[in-house]
Amino acid sequence: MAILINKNTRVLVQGITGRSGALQTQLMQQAGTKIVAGVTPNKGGQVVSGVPVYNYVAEAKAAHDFDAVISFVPPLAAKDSSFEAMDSGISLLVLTTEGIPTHDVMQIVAYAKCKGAHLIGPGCSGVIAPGVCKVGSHPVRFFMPGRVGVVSKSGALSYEIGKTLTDSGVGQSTVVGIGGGPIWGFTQKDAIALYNNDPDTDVIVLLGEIGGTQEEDAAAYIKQYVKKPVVALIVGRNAPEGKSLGHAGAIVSGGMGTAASKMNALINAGAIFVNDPVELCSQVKKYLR
Amino acid sequence: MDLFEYEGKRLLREHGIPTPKSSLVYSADEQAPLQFPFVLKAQVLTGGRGKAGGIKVCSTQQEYKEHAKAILGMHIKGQPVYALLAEEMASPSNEIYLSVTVKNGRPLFIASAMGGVDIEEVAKSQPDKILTLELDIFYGLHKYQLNRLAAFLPMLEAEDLKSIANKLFSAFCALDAKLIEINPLGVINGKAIALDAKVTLDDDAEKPQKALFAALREDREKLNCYSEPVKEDNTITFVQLEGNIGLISDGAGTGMLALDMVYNAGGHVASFCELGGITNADVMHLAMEKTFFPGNTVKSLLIVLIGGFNRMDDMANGITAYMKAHKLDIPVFTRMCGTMEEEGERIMRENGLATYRDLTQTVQLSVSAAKEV
Repeated sequence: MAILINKNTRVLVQGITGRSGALQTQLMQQAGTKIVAGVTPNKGGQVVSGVPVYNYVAEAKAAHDFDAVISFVPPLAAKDSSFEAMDSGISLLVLTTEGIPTHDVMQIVAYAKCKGAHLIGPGCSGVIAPGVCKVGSHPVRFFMPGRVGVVSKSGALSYEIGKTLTDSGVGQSTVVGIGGGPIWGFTQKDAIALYNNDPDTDVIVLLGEIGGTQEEDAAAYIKQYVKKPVVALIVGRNAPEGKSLGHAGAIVSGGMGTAASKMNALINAGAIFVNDPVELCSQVKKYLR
Repeated sequence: MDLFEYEGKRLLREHGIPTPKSSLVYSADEQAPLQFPFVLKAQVLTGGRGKAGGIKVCSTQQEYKEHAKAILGMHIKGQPVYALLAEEMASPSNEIYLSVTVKNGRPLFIASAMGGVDIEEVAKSQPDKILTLELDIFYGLHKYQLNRLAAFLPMLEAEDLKSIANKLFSAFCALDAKLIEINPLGVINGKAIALDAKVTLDDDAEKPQKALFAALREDREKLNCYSEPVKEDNTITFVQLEGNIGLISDGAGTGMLALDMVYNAGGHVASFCELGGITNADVMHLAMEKTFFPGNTVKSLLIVLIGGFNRMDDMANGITAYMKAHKLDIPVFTRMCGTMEEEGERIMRENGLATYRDLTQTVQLSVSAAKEV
């Protein structure tokens, strides 16, 4: 078992006829994901990678069972299409789109809370359970099945750490990329809570970044509830104050969101704090024994 | 996009929030726009105007000419003053702080009776003087929240305050704003009037707010020589730092990781360049151009690539094209892995460039090379 997805997960792809939607659909199928339908308005009737395309989610729902949606729609289509996806009663929406207007993101996040759906993103790489299922854009070559649960803001950083672990023979139960912010649906704390109860995860890896207070929130949760070892890496310690290094959420201003504040909170919560991928890997191996 | 006070106030007025009678002044040669006395305020996108001498009361024609000329020649925190807002005098009995902003993915409404000062300072020294209300993006202020607000700010007539608060939230949504701050909101005979306005619009909402953005830009052209930085049509982030190692990465998270690893290894980064979501050979070429801008301090180049969406053959073509065109004799250390890595490695090799797969090793090589120079 993994968190959020499993071998029975059935997926609908929004924006399936777009360049990135079509490519990622194929890559997800190669990773073992059961993709049952796709939606692109006005493209109903087409077939992409053997997957039937519909104009509306409700039309797809009438013909197929699915419990997760991954969305590759353009920024201005994200709000309405996310409402449409969540209205179909799904439990998981992976919203990969970046650059969605802030007010639209606030509405999507609030709607997901009301509907009780897990919203991963926006602007995220999504979820992979290596060897089982992938509802995201992770390259499968960097991952292998195992018992380490990873949550990362950055997609590329989760590939980097996945590669480091996999190269040294350490597999992963699930890897989640939640996006670079500054607004998130699913948080690091949410992922840690699920890993804590997942019988197939023995060690949790938290990949954080400077900016915001997510890592501090995760630390408070770890301190109170988590008995499994948590190995944490925070990147951006040497970033200049007041400047974003590519993720809108990764910015330190007025002394808030610093690496030091996150490090102190995590160490205080009993997490194992590491400085680079090599150290991370050796600590994970130590605690897997 | 940050707005000038006069732009923000015009938007507040359009949403039914009272502001003082005012007029814009672009030149000291213009006739006095209002009856004396009035106040002249420098229009700049920064705080601390008053301390810098950018706000003056004018009681006579001579004072007006002198002040207008002086303020229009000023730079405030490095910003030239292109326009003045002439505004009728207001003598409020109280100064209130009101704002609505985005916090933790929700609208946050903030109020304080201690307006007119730096609210961050009040928040630190006297947190009980500040009321914060987390709002529902779909509903705005609930009745109980309006009642709490009215009880917290008794110097204002309750109905007037509730109406202003609702209008503030409506404007926040209608404008796709990230921040609307009224500091201070003056109280005159129990009624509220916005004496300053700070509005930040959401750049990601430029398309749905096309008319608003276009009107603001057109209007700004009147501020002679005021020009907006041109928005580049790519997803590259480039930040100049102070060391001698150029860093290019194809992800923000891995870029920040490599940055930290360089410092851990005793190196210093000259510039941080992240390619962002859309990558191809041209974007990589552009990243090289940005890194080697005239006057750069790069002595060694570290390129960290982990291909997901992007292809390593594309990246290799971008790097080698730049190296050939510019006959660059700076050592380049490229960590390349992921989609099409064999092809990328071959292209690099044929152009006499080494590639590595291990990140730690690549970082160390780039740091050593920078130290030798």
